[in-house]
Amino acid sequence: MKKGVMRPGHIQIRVLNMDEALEHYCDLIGLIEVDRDDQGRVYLKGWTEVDKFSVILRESDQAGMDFVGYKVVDTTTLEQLKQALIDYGCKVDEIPAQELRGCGRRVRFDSPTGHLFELYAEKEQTGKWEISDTNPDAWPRNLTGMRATRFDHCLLYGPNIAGTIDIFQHVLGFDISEQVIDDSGVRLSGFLTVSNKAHDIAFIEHPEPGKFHHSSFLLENWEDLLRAADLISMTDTSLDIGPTRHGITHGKTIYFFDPSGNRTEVFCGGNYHYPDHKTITWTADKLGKAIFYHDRQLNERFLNVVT
Amino acid sequence: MIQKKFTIFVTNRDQQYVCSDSESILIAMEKVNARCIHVGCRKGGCGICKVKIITGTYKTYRMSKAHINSNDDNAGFALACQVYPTSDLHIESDHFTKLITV
Repeated sequence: MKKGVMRPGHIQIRVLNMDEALEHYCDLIGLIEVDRDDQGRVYLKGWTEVDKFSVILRESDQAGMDFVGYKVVDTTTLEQLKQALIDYGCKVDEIPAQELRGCGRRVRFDSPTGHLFELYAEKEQTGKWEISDTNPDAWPRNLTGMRATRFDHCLLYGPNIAGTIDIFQHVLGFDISEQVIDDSGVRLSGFLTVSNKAHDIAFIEHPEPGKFHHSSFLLENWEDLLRAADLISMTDTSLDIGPTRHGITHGKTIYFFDPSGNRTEVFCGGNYHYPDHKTITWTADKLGKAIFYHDRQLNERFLNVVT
Repeated sequence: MIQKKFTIFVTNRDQQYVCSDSESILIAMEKVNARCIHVGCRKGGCGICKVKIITGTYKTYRMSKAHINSNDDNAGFALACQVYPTSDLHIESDHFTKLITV
């Protein structure tokens, strides 16, 4: 949190059909619908999240991610980071308050990988879903499906990840917690954090710009993950891989696809990070084990299936 | 209701397999462990299963416009995960041009 960026705040995902998407994100994953707007966007959150929403679904004729936003500590920080991004040379746009219902003004910037990112300081704080902040119970009783606790991170693909990582590291104060390096020392992948988590965002080098590999939702333990895999089968959901473990972050994971082909991850556990931790490095010759720790080889989908 | 069964001939891979009218040609391929079309998201979003239908009739469901636009559609391109046969089909697979191999 060196420069005041706190956590991943929200992600806007394009879906080909809203009803089917809501079956996936709400009924199956367990996010809760909190609002809709007059553009037809639907707003969702995980039950442990204190802000009003963390996922926005927008119906479109193409799948993928519109943008991902990060919450910063206050409006002073937002102003400082906006200026720093402008000084760096990013194309910076102001999105007015309430363009997303319940969210304050957002500072949107582009990136060398072709992705759009946002920062914001204010969002309506509705509290954890069905859980008080006075003498709270352990969990709410009406969750559905996998009962995911929060939107945790996303993995993005694009060219020149070095450029985008430079912005996140030097302007926004993220640390590189883990990376994949090839024989000539070029970084093929960077996992970045602004917190105690192994990653708050990650990038993999890829020729096509602006691509979305997955959004990730947190579960608590391996038993939850097995149950999630059972639900994937019960609902005839398209499975990519898992349950298994990643080498990078050592997180336990399942990859599967929403009805529009966007990849979703549910995961639990794995490494943690402090600012004095050295960056963990995986070498490109061990890429299979880095991604799929048990299988020790990539599947064709990992490098190719993006939206 | 009795399912009709059709044969899918994948001409560029010299393989064929059976597919019913109630499943996509991609899922039918996976069921018999044939490997002649790349498997991606299976939901019409990623484009990796892009094929060209040379002969035969079929229905298609929802495909991302990023991968199949109306020109593609008219030219017989489709995403195999969204193709449901209504007759035997002759198809070419491997029409996703940006495949990355490790």
